[in-house]
This record gives sequence, C-alpha cells and structure tokens, in this order.
Amino acid sequence: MRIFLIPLWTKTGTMFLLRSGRSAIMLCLMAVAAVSSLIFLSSLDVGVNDAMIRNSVGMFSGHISGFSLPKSITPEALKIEGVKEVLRRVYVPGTISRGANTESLNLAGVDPDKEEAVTALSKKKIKGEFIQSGEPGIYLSRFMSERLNATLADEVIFKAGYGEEIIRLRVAGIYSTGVEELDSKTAFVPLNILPDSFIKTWLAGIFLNEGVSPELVLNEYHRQFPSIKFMTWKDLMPDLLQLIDLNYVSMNIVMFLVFGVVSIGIACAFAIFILKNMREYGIMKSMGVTPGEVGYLIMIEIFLINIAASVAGVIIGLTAVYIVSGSGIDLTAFTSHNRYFAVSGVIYPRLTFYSLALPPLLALIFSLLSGIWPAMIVSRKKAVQILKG
Amino acid sequence: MITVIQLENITKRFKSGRGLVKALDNISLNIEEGSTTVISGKSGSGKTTLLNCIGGLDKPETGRVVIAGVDIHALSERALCLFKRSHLGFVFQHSNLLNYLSVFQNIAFPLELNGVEKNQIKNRIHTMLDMIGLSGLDNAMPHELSGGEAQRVAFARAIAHSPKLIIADEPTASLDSETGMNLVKLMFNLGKKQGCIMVIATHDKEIMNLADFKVQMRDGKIIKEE
Repeated sequence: MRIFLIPLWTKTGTMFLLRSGRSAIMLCLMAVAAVSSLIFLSSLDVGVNDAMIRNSVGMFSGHISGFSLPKSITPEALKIEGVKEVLRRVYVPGTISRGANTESLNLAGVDPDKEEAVTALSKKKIKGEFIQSGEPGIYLSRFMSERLNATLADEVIFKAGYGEEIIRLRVAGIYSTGVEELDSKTAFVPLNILPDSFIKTWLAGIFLNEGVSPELVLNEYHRQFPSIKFMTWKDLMPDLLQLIDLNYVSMNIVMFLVFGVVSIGIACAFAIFILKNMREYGIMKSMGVTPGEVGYLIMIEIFLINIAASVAGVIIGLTAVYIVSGSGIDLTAFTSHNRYFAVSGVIYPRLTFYSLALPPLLALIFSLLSGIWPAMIVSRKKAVQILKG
Repeated sequence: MITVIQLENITKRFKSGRGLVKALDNISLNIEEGSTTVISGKSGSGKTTLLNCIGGLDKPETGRVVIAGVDIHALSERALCLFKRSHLGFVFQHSNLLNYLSVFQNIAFPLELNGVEKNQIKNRIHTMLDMIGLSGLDNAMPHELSGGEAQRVAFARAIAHSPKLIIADEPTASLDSETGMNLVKLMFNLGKKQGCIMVIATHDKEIMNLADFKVQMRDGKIIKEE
C-alpha cells in the first residue's frame, strides 16, 4: 500500500462511519458496553485485592515485619521515608493459667495507644475493653478465654518460658479476629507492664503510607540494617499473595472470554456493516483500488470505530469507578467469615494503568481480528461480481 | 490515427442454468486514439462483458486486450489495479457514486488515488463542475442529486484524472431520452477535448449516430462495424 494514500483511506473510512449513522452507532455501542463494564469489573477486582491486603496487614501485622531487633534500635530509627508508623512489640513465649487450666501462648507486649490508632485489633473486641497503657490488663482471644474458663476481670497468671518470674493480669477484654494465629496462640498486654527481664529483643510492625511499595522500603532497611531480618507481607502471607494472583488470572480469563464472546457478535455486526457497503467497495475496486487497499480501508473503519468506542467506554468506566469509589461497595454480608476481610468488607474500586488500558486494548485486538473475515470477503471479490450484485 | 486499444480473439463463457453460454465469441477490434465508439446490441449480446474485459474488470478466457501497448490481462492483480486507476475511467448504468462521499469528494477520489496535489484537485474539480453545469454542488450528497446530475458527476469522476480511456456501460439507461442525449453529448465533447477514447454501450440509436465508430453485437459476436 502506498504511504501517501493513508490520509485518503483514513478520511474515506471516517466519512463511511460518520455517514453510516445508526448502524455505526449500534456497532460502537457493543464495544462501549464491553470496554466500560470490563474497566469497572477490573477496577473492582483491584479493589477486592486492595481490601484483602488492607484487611490482612491492617489487622495487626503491618506491611513489613522486623524480627529480633535489639533494644539499641528504636522504632523512630525505622521511620524512614514512606513509613507511616512503626509499632514495637515484644513476644514472650510462656504459659497462662487460671485455676487448674493452663495453656501455652505468646504474650505480646504492645503500645496500646499506638495499636489502637494504627491496627484494627482493638476493634475486634467482643467483650470488655482494649488494654490501657500501664495497667496490668490482658486482651484475650475468645478461644483462649474459653480454654482458661476466664471472663472479664478474672485474674490469670502468666509464666514466661524462661526463668521463674510470673505476672498477674486481669482480663480487660476478649476479642475474635478470625485470624488463627491471633485467635489461638496470642494474648496482648501493655508493653510497659512487662518486666525488663522479659524484653530481650523486639519485633517491629511497620505500616506504610498508601501506595508505597513494600519492596522499596525493605531494600532501604536491608541497606541500613544489614544484620536485621525484615520480611514483607508477601513473604509472611504467601497464601494471600497467591489469592491475589489467582484473582488477577481469573479476571484476565474473564476479560478474554468476554471479548471472545463479544468479538463474535462484533464480527457478525462488522460483517453486516461491511457487506452493507459492499457496493461502495465494488465501485472503488472498479476505479483501481487494490484488494490490499480495500482491506486496509475496512481495518481503518474498524480501528476508528474502536477508538471512538474505547474513548466512550473509558469515560463511562471511569465515571462509574469514580462514583462507586467514594462510598465503596459494602460486601460484608459475603465476607464476614473470611479472614481476608476480617476488618471490613467494603470494596473500593481502584483504577490502575492495567485495568484502564487492558479492556480498550483487548477490544481493539479482538475487533481487528473479527474484521479480518469480512475484509477478506470484500478484498477477494472482484469488482464485476460486486457490481452485478 | 494510432490504434490505442487492440482486442485480439477475445472469448468469454459463463456458466448458467442453460449450461455454458458464450458471452464473447472470438472478438477482435481496434479502437483509435481520441475516438468515440458506440457498442450496440440487444440485452445479452455481450456488450457489458466486452466493456468489462476492455476495462480489466473481467478477464477473458482467451485472447488479449492491449491498451497503449500494455496487455492488461497479463498484468498482476495489483499492477492491473494501478493501471486502471491512472489510465481508465468508468461510468455505469446507475451512477454508482460513492454514497457516503459528497460530489466534491467523489470527483476528488481518483485524483487523490493518483497522488494529485490538494490545490490542483480543488481547481480541477471546480473546472469540472463548471463544465458539467453543476457549479455550487460541491457539498451535495449523491442522494440529493437527480439521475441526470448524478450521471454527470459520475462522468466528471471518470474523466477527472485525464485517463486514456473512458468506458460507459449504458450511462443513459436510467435517464429520459433528452437528458440522456445531453449527457452523451457532454461526454463526447469533453472526452474529445481531453483526448480520451470513449467506448459506450447503448441501445439508443440517436446516441449511436453521435459516435465516430459503431460496433453492433449479437450473441457474443461483432456482426457489424462502421
């Protein structure tokens, strides 16, 4: 095809579409519906993944965990760029008992005020109150309280796994998070009531600002504190990471299936649209337009109709995401027993470059593929066959 | 006069319900430079098939069509298309304008195909519209034109790029006799001025009398040449 004719084919294709009126609009609408709905679905999928990550890291663990930190490293030292908060936690393995009932657990010493401000732990109480700084209260899981037969204000005795020192604690609150690790093996006390002998090293729960990559912060920690072990939630929760990947794969399959099915409809509509204009192509061929140029003209028409449909579809999809992302979609009824939604079942659709770009790109690819068949029909027909009707 | 179009032993058959029909039966014909030729004959005599073979729209089974020294049916499909776009112009029974393009865009189409500059195209089209008496109708759409106007635009489009040969297949068939006669006179006048060879198929005896050469066909054969 001659390069200098590209403007002619583009102009002619545009004229064909503009003056085809309703049939071009109907054709456009199919692609608009597919693009806009997939942009919305895709951003909803991103929103579901965001919610699972937010719920999982926001419950207690944080985006990054630092292990066996010496007392010489303070939480402030870990507050580098992108870090919202560093929570200091001390884990003391031991046994807890009430009367004749004894259970082994990890007693976690935490800063109650900071935990309440940053994590969702305090919101998961089902009885009593969250622990208060300086008071010898313990925040027990429902599972543990049942095992110990302990209820609010009962006294329990904790004995560390090493040494003989014990501490007496009163049950301040009972919680249930839905996270097995927290519900069956852990109880919380204010860090400042633990004897110094219990505090050998500490663990850091590191919470990042919105949109900050955990890997970037992790790299910086590795640079600044090479001897300390840090892990992101991706290492600590491989099941969540896998679930997110599974979600993306499922969404991609849905997108390909939707466009696969829609493209059959689009192919039929394109075929009708193109065959309706068969006479025009026949006239052009009689004037010396080559089969390749006719094919190119048809592809230009499909491309243009797709650009128009994609622009409209993206605008509609963006608007829908914008409207819904403000208030979110409350799916608590379907997520309340799911540990990845332990804090909140509200999904906020979020647009990513991928969720915005993939549907129009797929629409274009599938439309161009679906246009090949009618383009070949027209290209192969001789002008005289077409004009004879 | 120089012979510009040579038809040598052209044969073309079609399959139909009545078996194999000979549409063209060993046709040979020479057409001279700048001449007007009318091909007449009853329906089914082979006029349209002959014109299609001359114009490269249809391929004969045997024989050669040589235009300006080029055996057009020996060309590749692409080369034949490129030859048609620069050397040939067609006018069909029904105007066959491109419905989605305006009068201006229809006439501009072959010029753009041949890479003519925009300014030249504009000037050429305005001259053409003046000559065919349709000045001011640049932006009209084909459906807004009368039958006679549409055929004049079709002719303007066929001649716009100054082809060597214009082929018109019963261009007056859908027009009343006066409009038809005026159209053919216009075509012959402009064709002569531009040095185009005009080959027209028609039933109309008055139109036949306007041509330099007359060819009469019956059952795929030339039965009379004047």
